[in-house]
Amino acid sequence: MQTDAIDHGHEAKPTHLRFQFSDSARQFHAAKFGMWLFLGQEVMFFSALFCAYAYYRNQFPDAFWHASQHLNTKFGLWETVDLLTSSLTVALAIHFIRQGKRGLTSAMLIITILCAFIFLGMHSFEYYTEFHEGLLPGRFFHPEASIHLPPESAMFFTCYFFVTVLHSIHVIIGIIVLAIILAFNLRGKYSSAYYTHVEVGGLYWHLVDLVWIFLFPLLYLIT
Amino acid sequence: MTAHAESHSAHEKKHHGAGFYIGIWIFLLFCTAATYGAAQVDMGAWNLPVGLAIATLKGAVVCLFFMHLWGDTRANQFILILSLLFVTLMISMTLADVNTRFPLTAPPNSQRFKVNPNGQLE
Amino acid sequence: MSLAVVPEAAPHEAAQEPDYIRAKSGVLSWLLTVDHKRIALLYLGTVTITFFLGGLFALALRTELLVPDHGIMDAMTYNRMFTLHGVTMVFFFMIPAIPGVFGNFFLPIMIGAHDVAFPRLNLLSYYLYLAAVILGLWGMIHGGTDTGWTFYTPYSTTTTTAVLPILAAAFINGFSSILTGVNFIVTIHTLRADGLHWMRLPLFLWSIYGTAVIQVLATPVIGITLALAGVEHFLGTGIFDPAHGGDPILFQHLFWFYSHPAVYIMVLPAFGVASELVGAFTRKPLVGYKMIALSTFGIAFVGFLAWGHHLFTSGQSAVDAGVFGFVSMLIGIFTSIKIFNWVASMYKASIYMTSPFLYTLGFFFLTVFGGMSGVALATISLDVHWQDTYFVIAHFHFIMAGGVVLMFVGGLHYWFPKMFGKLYNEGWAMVAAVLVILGFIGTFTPQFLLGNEGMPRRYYSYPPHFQFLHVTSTIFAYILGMGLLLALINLIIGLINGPRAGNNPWGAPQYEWDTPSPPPEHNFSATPVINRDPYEYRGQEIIENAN
Repeated sequence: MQTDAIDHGHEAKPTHLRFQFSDSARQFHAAKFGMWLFLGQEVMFFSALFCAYAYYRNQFPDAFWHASQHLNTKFGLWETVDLLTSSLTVALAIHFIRQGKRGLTSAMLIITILCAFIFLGMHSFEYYTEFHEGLLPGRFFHPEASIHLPPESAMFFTCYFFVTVLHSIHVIIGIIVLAIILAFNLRGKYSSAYYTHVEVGGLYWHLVDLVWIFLFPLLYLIT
Repeated sequence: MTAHAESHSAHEKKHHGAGFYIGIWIFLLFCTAATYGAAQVDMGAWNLPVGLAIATLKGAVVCLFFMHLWGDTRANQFILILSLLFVTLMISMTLADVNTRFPLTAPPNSQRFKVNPNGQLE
Repeated sequence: MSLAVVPEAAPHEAAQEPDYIRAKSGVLSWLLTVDHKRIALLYLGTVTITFFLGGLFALALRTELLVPDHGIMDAMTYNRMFTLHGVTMVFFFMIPAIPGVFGNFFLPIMIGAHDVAFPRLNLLSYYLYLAAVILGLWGMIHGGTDTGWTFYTPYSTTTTTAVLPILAAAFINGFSSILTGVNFIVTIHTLRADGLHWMRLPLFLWSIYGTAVIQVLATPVIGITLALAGVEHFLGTGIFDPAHGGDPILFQHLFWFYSHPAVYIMVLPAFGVASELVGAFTRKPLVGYKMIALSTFGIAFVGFLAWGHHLFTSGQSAVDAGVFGFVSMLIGIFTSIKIFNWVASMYKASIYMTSPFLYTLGFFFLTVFGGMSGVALATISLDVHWQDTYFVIAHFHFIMAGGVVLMFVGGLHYWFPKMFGKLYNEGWAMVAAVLVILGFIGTFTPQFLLGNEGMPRRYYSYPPHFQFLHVTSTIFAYILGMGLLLALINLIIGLINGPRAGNNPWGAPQYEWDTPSPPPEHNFSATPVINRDPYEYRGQEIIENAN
């Protein structure tokens, strides 16, 4: 076994403690720090798209306003409420597992995943509508006859599709991560002494929400 | 450090009740309504900064309370601030580039490309 | 004793424990290892292959440049040669090499830890890198691409060459880099042994830390940028296409936002190795430890502010160009701090001349000239003349090849006894070092002259009056190649036939030399306590090589 060669002392070690860490607290802190670094990189990952958006909105402000009118703002609003709620439920999941209440944790995780699916469903409907109206990026931009948009509006839809598709990919990854955590929780892996995955998975999910908090006003509420 | 002490070392901080998180959520919903409401009011060039300010407030609240950054280690707090700093840098320098170029290099339908009826640069 | 054993631990004799190479056997024990030292060797094997592959591309294009027109290949092939040389060297060698090999091997040992914070993530980083290399090779087999390693739009989004696999390979490689960066930062923060406060950290680790910060924050930007270019190539979405309102210069801004800090990902670890080599072979404590450590962050931070100097002649505004030019020069301040401290460390020192130290001296010479040419290039009025000429190529090869490659090879020689428990032949290593250093100088100095006279980069044909300089450069490129090959063969012979190395054949003061050569699987039997500085000599003696 790996830990034979290392002498950490003579107390019983928790089963989740890895050999390179001397104690649980350090391991937990390392996991959180690692996830925060990963979130820092996620922020930079999205930043390039926010930069492109700013670049083109700065050049074509009127076209962006016109284009934004054709997004479904009500849907955007409900999507925002949905993701904020999912952030609440995942925060509550962590809160409950800290108290060892595994059943409530599972319930909160299920609601979070449900909210995520609702988000994807609503957004898919938006994409479907935009596809039918011909409001697509770049060379696919062929607005149907009833929609009068200047040609530069295509750039709005390019930015919109890139950033929302990337965001949706992160939602899907988040669903997978949360589902795995849910499965582990149902099998009794977590307790009030060890819930690192829940905390770290929750941090990832909050990032997904954070990105949307900025996307909503920038895409749907241009005035 | 005994195993018993280890399992509680992570819990020495006082933790909020569930009601606290629900309270934060209600505040976030209120901010969302405010964003939506502000967008219905025409404030001219101020709409964008106001919208971004409310979004920043919501983001800060999510980070500080849902993500437990309030009272977290300095290292975790620093990462977020550093990344936001670099994002600001990236966006401001690229915008500065387009906004200070010779106007005729801008695309014809863009805001900066303005030529008056006599064919002169405005 | 430098690394004191915690008193209540049972004193395990480290000599009785098998070393990490012999601890487990079988192919799977290597392919599925989570031991940072074995992962380092996996990286070493792969980067050696990619380095020589990139070198072959270089020799191919230099051979073509022996004659002003058609030599051994046509123009399209030539374009693919320089593109693949750049892609292979930048993404598959320079970025992963020193952190992947020496960072992985020595970071835990130097901080008194048993492994990195996330060993399985470490293995994933390696496999992502390997997947990127394989995907890149697949793209090369399908003809590669001819866009240049910088993939500028609109050519990269409209070319019919196999640009998509290469873009995808670079994207995946980025994630390897990011995860390594996360792992190293968390390791340095959370796994330092008792007594190892920040100002006792070996300087190599300060630079690995700075590198890791850049890896984490800059790499995602190129990931998304290459993804955007790839999607545009595949779907024609038009984000960089003026016909749809796009701007090709946006691609350049986003690309260089990563790629400028990327050069510091490449060079900071080399600076770290240099600090270690100076610490070992001057036989006295390093001068200016704190300045060398903190200047790392100066370089890392200011490196993020300077990307627009790559866009001076691309159509960027004059205002932005001015700001970027000024900021780019500031980086020279931090680099100079390091150089002055290293030179001061050598002053009145008892120099132990070895092949690693010879590489270090070559490194100083080449990096100083490379760096100074960088400050010259940051002057916009001069860059207008030099941009996209051989002057720029000479500048970055002086630092990348003359700096990073010399420190990779020098570090490999220095740490070879520790990693493998064997000694190589110093005499032949010295010969190889001389060939390599002279080869570098001879290959790239003519290129400064070529660039200054106006020879553009990436050009297949040139006016006949440039031929003399091109031929000189090519001849020395072959000498350089032979020197590197000789160094490799010498090390392999040492690996197979060399005498056993003791714990500390160089008599160096740093922490890693207190462990056995090679170290046991978990580095230490009991958690060490560190009670001295890393460059403090305590009268270690140099053990002369058996041969």
